[in-house]
Amino acid sequence: MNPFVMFAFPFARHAFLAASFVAVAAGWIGFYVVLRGTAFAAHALPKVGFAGASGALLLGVNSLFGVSLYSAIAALGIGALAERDRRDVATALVLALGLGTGALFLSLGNLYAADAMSLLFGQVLGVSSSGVMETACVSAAAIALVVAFHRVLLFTTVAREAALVRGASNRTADWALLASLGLATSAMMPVVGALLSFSLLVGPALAARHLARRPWQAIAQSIALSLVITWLSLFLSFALGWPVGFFVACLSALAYAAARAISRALGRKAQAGAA
Amino acid sequence: MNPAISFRDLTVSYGSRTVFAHLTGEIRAGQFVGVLGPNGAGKSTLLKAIAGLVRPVAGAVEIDGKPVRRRNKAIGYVPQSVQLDEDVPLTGRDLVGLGLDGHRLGFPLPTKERREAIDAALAQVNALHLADRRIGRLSGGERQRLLIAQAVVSKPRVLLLDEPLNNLDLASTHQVVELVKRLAHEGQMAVLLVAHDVNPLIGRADEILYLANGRMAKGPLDDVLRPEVLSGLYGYPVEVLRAGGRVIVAAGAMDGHAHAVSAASPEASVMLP
Amino acid sequence: MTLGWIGEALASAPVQHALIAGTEIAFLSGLVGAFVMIRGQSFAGHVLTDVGTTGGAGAYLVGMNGWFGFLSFGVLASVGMELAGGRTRGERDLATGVVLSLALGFGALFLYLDAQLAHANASMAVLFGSLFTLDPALVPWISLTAAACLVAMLLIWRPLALASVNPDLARVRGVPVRAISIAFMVVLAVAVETDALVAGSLLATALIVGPAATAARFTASPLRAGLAGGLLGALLVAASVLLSYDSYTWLPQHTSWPVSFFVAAFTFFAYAIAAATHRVAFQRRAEVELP
Repeated sequence: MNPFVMFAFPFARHAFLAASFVAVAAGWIGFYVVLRGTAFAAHALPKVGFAGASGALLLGVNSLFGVSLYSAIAALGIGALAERDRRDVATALVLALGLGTGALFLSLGNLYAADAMSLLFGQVLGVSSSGVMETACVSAAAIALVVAFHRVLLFTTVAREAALVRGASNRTADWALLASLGLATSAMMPVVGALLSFSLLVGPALAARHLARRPWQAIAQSIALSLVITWLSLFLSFALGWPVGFFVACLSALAYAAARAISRALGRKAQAGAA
Repeated sequence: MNPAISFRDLTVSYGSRTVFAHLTGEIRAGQFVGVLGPNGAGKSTLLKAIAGLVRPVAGAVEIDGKPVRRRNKAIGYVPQSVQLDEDVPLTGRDLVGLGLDGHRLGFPLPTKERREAIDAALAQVNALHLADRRIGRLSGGERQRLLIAQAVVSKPRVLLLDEPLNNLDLASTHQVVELVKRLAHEGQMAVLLVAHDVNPLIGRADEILYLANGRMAKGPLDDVLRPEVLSGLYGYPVEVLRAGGRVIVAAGAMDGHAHAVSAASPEASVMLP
Repeated sequence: MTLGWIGEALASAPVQHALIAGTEIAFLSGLVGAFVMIRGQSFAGHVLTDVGTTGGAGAYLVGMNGWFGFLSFGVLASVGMELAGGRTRGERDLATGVVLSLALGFGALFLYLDAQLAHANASMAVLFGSLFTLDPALVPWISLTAAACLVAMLLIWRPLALASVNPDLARVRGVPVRAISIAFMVVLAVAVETDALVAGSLLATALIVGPAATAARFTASPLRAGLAGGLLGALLVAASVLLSYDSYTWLPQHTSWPVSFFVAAFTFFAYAIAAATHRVAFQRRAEVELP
């Protein structure tokens, strides 16, 4: 069957639309995640969000807003924890608790393994038409946060004390990014899945960093890459039936590797040219 | 006319440890003051207290006659060092621009004035050629100059530099001190530069602020760097050795000739004329 | 409160097997965990379980037992990691994450294919544990492997402690630091991948770091922390198994609560209580008592 036929179906159009919003948010916010190196939060939040999402499934609540609220709160909680205790142990255990609770909810709801799979690895058909609106709103809110704190995030990352003298607080920037991340991951989860959201968040931004020299360039490239990866993944997932997360992970890794190779090749050419 | 920086009875503690107590002094616009002293004396802490980053237990700091507070446009701060990834997507221009409006919300508008202000600051520190280079790929000295540009682009009244010379080679060290002197005199800024070694400052700094043992002495270099003054600060005999135009401060009298001013010197802050 | 249900639980063969395998591997994990903390290698644990997921899922595809899949990928990854000598920081942390996600992505693919090929429960088993559905024939193998690793750990304990805290001194004293590190990584891989049977690959690392970190709040000696952590872990797993068995009757819908949930909850609360009541006994390498 010609896979392009899928666009005749509303659910496929919805899925692509929602996924586009998600991709823009992931690419945009990923820039700051990579800038500040918050690998831990990027890994952790989707896993905690998984517990929230499976709890929502159990309660029959399908609202993205509910999961977003839960994720935003969880984000702040993780921020507080990461400051106080050795992140390796305490937070690893919190994550485990989150995942374990998610497993509990899944088994209590007598939900099939397919539900676990789609929450963890993403599913093409996960979005209804109201879901598109919700996804757009949540993504927009996440993006609005990092847009507002764009300069503060840059300044506090690069020269923390100088920024503080001017009134730009590193802690405020941290919280803003975490909250944004919480919102973004809850939007990403239905599409990419909890376990592989990290790829979409970090991969395009890492690739863009090697190719772009200035912040707005890096953001734009990250968004563009993220959109391409998401569309391709959705398309391939529909055509082959394999999980979306699989394609996202592969394409993100590919994009990163390609970006590094290109920048290295360009660097060598520049050196040769200068010599 | 209010001095650019003035502090009175300044006392800072970390927990139960008092870093320094009852420091009083002032620095006028256009003055370039080097801050010296042994490790752990509190030089960076003093700088941070003046910048409003550290809250004193007692005493007060005033900038231009007004109490210092966070979000102070009149202060330019050059941090000790910055940890940067090689691939950070920021150019020199971006970094300097943050000094202008990095505390504001949203994205910067690319107006002509903004661009001109940034170019002017880059020109001042002789770093125009670094404007479009990635900051992660620059040398220590180049980065230091950009950080200074970032601090002065908003034309502050006060410039504070926290150990800027630490990881620089000799040539860069002299370049940076020369630059700072120029900025102080031409820009009419009150400048405090924390350093470990007095030698690059000789002939360039207007005054020295020597911090030791929780007390300070401030004045022209030759007046402060004297055995009796420093011994008074330290509370034990200190030698000041001069050889070939260089100065070395050494603890402990070798031959007993250094006369220490009474160890319990009542003045915490000695101002020398 | 009647405890008769415990007797009933113990009479059931799956519970017996679960208890034997679970407590053995939990004990080993505690010992291993003490060193993971000293060596700061908890990230390695995550790498191993993520790669192990792919192995476990792939095993179901080819009709192999899940444990062998976990083990083979885990051991290969552990040796590979040790030989590659990675210390990660900053962008490399993130880049490593992207590569790991690639491995996990293949795991996702394998789990999907498993479901298509009628191993519908492969995903729950691989990700969240399969202790009660353990093939009884495996239990003696698990015991053997756990015992072998235990013996290995006790044999290399002293040189490992020295090599972890002060590798240069260890080399001077003739300790084969490289070989010992590889040996330790292999034991870690075995421990964490077998933990994946108990609590699933997503939660396996909790059994490695949790009990040992809890014990470390009370003692500065790695040996004592390891042994206490091992005992604590074994206790927690035993309680989890029993409660999971009993939970079938707790709610009207008659499903057992997963073992992994209890394991996660117990390890978290044990650590939280210990952390709230005791200052850290050993945290930095310099403070570790050498045996």
